[in-house]
Amino acid sequence: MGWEDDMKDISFDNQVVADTRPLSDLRVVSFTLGAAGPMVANCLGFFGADVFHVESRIRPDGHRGGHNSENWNKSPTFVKLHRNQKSITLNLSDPEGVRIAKELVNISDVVVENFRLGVLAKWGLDYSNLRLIRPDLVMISLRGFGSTGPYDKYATWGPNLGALLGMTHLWNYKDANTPTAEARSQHPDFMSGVCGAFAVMSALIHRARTGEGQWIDAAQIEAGAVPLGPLYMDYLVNKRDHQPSGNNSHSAVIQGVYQCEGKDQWCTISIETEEQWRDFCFVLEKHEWLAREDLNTYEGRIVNKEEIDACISEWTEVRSKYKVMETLQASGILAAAVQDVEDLLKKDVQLRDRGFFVELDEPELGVIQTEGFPTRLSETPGEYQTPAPLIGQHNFQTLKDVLGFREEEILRLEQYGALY
Amino acid sequence: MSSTGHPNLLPAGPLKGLRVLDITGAPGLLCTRMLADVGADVIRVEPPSGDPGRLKPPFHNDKIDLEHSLNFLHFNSNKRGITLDIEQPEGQVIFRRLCAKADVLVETLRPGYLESLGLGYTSLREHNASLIHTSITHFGHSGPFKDYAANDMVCFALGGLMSMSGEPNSTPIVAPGELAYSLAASYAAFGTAVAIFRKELLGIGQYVEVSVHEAAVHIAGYAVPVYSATGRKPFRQSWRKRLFDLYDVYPCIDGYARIFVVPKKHWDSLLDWLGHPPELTSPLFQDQQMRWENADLIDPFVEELCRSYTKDQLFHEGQRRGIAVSPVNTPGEFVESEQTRVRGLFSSLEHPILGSYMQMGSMHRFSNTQTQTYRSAPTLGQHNFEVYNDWLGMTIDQVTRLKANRTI
Repeated sequence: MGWEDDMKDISFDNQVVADTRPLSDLRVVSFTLGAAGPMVANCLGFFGADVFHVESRIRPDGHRGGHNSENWNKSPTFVKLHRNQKSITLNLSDPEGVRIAKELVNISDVVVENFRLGVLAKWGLDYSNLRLIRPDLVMISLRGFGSTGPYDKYATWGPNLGALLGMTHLWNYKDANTPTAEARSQHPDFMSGVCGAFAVMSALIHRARTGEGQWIDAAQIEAGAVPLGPLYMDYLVNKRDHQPSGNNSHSAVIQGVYQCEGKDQWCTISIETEEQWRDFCFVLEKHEWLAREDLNTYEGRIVNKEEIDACISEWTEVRSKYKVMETLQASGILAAAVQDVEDLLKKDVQLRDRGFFVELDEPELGVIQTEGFPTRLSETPGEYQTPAPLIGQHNFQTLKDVLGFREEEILRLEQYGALY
Repeated sequence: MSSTGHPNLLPAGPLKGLRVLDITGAPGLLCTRMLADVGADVIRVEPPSGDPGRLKPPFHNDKIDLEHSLNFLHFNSNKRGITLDIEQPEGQVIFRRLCAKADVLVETLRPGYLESLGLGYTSLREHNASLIHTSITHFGHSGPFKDYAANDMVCFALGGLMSMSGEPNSTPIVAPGELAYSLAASYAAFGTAVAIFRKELLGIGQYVEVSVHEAAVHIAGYAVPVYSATGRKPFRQSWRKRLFDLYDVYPCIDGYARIFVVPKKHWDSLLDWLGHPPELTSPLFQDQQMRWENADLIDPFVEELCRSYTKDQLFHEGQRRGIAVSPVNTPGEFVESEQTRVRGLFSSLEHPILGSYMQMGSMHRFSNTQTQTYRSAPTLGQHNFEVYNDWLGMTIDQVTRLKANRTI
């Protein structure tokens, strides 16, 4: 059977009706700030879960823009994290606010939280209290260091964790004399958020089988550290503490990032096999390299790397990065244009062909593009359907339609300041 | 039948009893490790000559052979291992029978390869309608880059973050640790779990497709929505030029520390620590954007403060004051840190050839379904008889014959 035949009845359509999304019968309450916790809720929300993001005007989320209320509904970073979610503003320092939160939990399946240890307990909203309301609740606490140990109350953001776990140090050129050359990235937020969503699904599967809920203690730093696991083992087993290695590869015949035509334009090249090395020499018309004995071996090419790199750069410098990529890929050689964000949105034909980016009209920002979801399910696909919520946008609707509060009661709670 | 690890410990966790076949290479290893860590019975299927990942450095005692790769050990603990040549006709028959018994198949083979062997999803589904087939590829199964040759660096470069990584007047650099692969594998594990959840409720299987390229775009953080809203493009910045910013690192007595100030409360605490220098008391600095724009005024004060502490002193004193301060650690310093030891992140496992060694445990702790890292990665073909007997009811004679034919 041919490939096309085999794949023809698998569709990844973006347009789906709401109720085919696989998590559309789940409710999630998200007591979260920053990015790691919201990412858990974001993953669940993409597949249709009804997510209530509980926030407050007293301590606004950094991604809302901090204390400057002008920006609260105009933050593109908040948009990325909170599409498909509802916003409810509660004053949890007030018993009435806590009462509403508990009513929400009472009708929900999942609670996600990433407050500092002890904050939810102070409000009576920790697992030991919430399980009394919902014995089958699945709850995840996703703190920087987890919920046990000597640093359990320490404050961290994604970049703190990258520094602690060794990523900041290793993210540099070989033999660098600077502390780091890392990008402004928050990889532990995204790793721990997606992994946390996996843990929640695992607990929901257990609940579907047994009826039992449970609490998950997750540490952002432990998910963020997983990619470096083999290096920690090298330290534990061989007493070797790793240093930065830049773009060098332990296995590739040649690997580097080369300057292409234009300002700050680059292309990666990795040659992993002897066959690719031969093809590469042909593409560059460096037939004499194939005849040279000193370039026949991996070690020989390392010794002569400067000479080889100079020739490669001479070839790449007069070609656009996309031309370099296409030419080498046509010969089966690993090459990739180093794209900036403008390239991603305007030039990446692969992402465009797959319809990766999602455009939704945000009420106070206009049409904003965000990344689509990298996981596509053939039978029960997810979809980003609604823009990020305005702060407190769903207060009234949630209390009236979901919790069944009378309108005058809602007005009283608003005036009193519990819905805040 | 004794297996490695602690013989009295059985797989436990919320996915206990779930059967998973694993033919993943580097982009998918973490996906199946996550499934194994929460109790699934993950069977790693390798060619009889061994998975090429068995030769990925670093190595136990620096010994380069199929059983000593620390990379292989890290990503394959809690899994069992069998060998099978799926390019042989008899191997294909056995593979179909295994898939008929499995809940989930996770693979990272190039687009079209399984179909070329007659083992595509549509065909496997004929014998197991509720099979979940998770495919992790560099670019997905469609589009002009579908057949491009790739590694982690290719996806990282195309994903956008590499353009912001490195010194401004030098070459962009790749992140350490194959980040694009790890994030893609995490997305795959999540998507697979969503499909399993659906299968529990409705009995349906499905095809789960993950693109490493698309996952890599997410590592670029907020570049896409920020550019979309403002037209601002992030660029490579030298650590020395970042000044008082979210990502700054400062020299201290014995290394570097990072101070990351976002909420107003943290800024107030930092001001206390700095002794309220008159130059910084303007209420304008209460605003994060203003601090960022006036970084060169703030920076010298923070730098001076940091120079009189060690990185660990800065860490604990800063945290005592409620500020998100962290040391810039080497991997070894992370392993040795107090929190890591108290939480038992690294624990000892028994391996049939290497004896006992230390590795990282699972990343989640469940209150109701105990999970643990209890089994080292399988040696090549270690569980052949156990699995072929248990899953397919093969006798020892049948397994011996398959071995003689190099099918397994």
